[in-house]
Amino acid sequence: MRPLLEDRLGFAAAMLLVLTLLGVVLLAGTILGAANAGWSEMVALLTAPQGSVGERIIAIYRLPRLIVAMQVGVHFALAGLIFQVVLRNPLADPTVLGISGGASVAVVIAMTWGVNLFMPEAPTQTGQYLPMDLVPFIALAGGLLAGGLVLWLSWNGDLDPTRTALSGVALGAVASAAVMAMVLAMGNSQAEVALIWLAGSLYGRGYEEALAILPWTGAGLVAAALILRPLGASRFDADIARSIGLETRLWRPLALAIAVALAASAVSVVGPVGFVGLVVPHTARLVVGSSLPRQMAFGALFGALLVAASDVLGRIVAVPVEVPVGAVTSLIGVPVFLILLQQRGGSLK
Amino acid sequence: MMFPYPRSTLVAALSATLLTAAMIHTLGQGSFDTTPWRALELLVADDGSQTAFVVRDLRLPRALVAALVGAALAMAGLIVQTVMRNPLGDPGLMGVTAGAAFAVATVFIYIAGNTLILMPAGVVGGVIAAAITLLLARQSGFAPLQLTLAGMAVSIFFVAATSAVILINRTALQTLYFWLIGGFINRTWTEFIFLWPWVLAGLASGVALARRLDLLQFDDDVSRALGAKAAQWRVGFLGLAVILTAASVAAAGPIGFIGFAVPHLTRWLIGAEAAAGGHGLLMPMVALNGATLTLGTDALVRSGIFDKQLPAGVLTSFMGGLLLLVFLRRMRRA
Repeated sequence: MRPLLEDRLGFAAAMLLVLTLLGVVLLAGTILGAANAGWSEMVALLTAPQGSVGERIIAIYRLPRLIVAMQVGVHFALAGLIFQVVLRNPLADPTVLGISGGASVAVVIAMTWGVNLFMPEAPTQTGQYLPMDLVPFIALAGGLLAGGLVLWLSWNGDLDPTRTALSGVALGAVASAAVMAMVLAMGNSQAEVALIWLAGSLYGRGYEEALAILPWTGAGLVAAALILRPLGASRFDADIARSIGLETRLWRPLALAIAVALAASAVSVVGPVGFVGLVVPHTARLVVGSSLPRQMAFGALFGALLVAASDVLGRIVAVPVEVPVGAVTSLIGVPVFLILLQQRGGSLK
Repeated sequence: MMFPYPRSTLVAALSATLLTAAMIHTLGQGSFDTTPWRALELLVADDGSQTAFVVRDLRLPRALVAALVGAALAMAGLIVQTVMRNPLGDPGLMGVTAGAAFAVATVFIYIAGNTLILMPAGVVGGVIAAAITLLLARQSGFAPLQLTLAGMAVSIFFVAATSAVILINRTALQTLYFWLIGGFINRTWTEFIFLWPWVLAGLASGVALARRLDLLQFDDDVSRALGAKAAQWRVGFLGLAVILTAASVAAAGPIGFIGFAVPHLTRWLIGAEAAAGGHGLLMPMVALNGATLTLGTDALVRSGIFDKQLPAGVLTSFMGGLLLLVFLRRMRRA
């Protein structure tokens, strides 16, 4: 099937559309929610702040949460794109490769230790008693370890896409069993926290988390831009890449490490939100065609839109309780993905 | 002849011995400690004591459910691996487990918490999810990659739907939690009576049709040339795997990786030569080893080496997953 908007004008239209939708979602995310803070509070906040409760809810809770949502969306989208291009694997995504699982295990271990060391009886929540800045590094260690293990297991002179995906799924399942066991060891009362965290949730995430992964977002964007050229060349065989002067041995691991860092830092604040890294690259290819820079630009924005919209929806659909963002991204992402798959006659190239 | 290979015979004998030993051991062990011999006596003759009740109505059904679930999942795994020509296939990859979990959670929250209603609901949910997966992969002629992809997507969808339903109705969580993780804690005769007809019928048809499965491991062209209606048989076998899995999940919750690991473990134990001999040998062997491994795991959990509340499902996932990584590594070298 031909991409929907392949030419230059079409690309501009696609970007404009995503940006508009993102604007709508940001607006909806600021004025909608369980607490009584809406349009008038936001206008007041922007024009003449009174310091009212409603204004503070918007400024302290809803706005930073939207920021974290968008950051995380960009992280997962770019990570998925890089994985799929470098591994030439349409199934690659942080979850499928076991990287989210590895990062989760590392974070939960740190969580358990952190809690046991500092506040034995207090309720657990991600990084609550760990310095938040530290958590992305812990997640990165877990993600790199898991990713390295999966690639090592699948490496056979080359990386067979199916074998890589299946090794990753296997490792991911081991990881989630490990997380379950650890959470159970914390006690049955933690079941809810575990379920929410394993689904991927933005509940209570704010400026602290946004700032903690901001350097990662910045560095990730810069690095992604820097590796665009070799990344584009890698869509061909290793031989062709070498013939145009690429040191495949050097930059392929580098690109993978960048993707792992993006995914792991995102996992460290929201947990393993699934499907964004898988669905965004396919959508991007379908909409803007084969140009990698365009895929990156569109994909990053679309990822931000997907996660932010899902979180807003999860917050307002069952007030006063929340549906975790990861559950919503899956519930939205899966049907979209399957429709795309059907339209393309089951082919993924 | 059933066991033309001496090594296979040895493995079968060993597995059967282990299964019996685990069964007897698990009957005598627990907070009402008795000797295995005494437990066997109580099985034959109910003396009306509390210990007799514990052995006959708590430990025995739990052990039987574990063995049935293990056999069913292992055979389902073998079928899926052969039909999808995917060495890492697992019934869970078709969305069966996630669909069953969603159905059980939804019915529990919105309709009724009765086990006799929940279990059929789980079967229906698992079958529906697998049907969606098959429908989505139909276009590609059930090609392995498309099947895996569709199944994964369907799984993710139902897992998400389950956590959404539960988190909107949080009071249900404590009750549903242990079911969702999977294990044999508190499984009684109710579960066994529900489970055995499905599993026995499934296992019997699996063994009876094993020769057909041999034809499906080749490409469609080859199978067609050999006279098999490849597509029909493929769907038929997947249907069998789905029924076996859905019934198991409905009774015990998701028990991870048994379907994944046992076929590989069995091939490795009996050797490549015997494994290539066909499914006539593999099917019963895999079912037996599945029962042994699952019951053994539950016995291990009950023995108190780990936290006693640790569900068997967590342990099987952990062990099976690790085993699988070892196999992947071996496959790489081969």
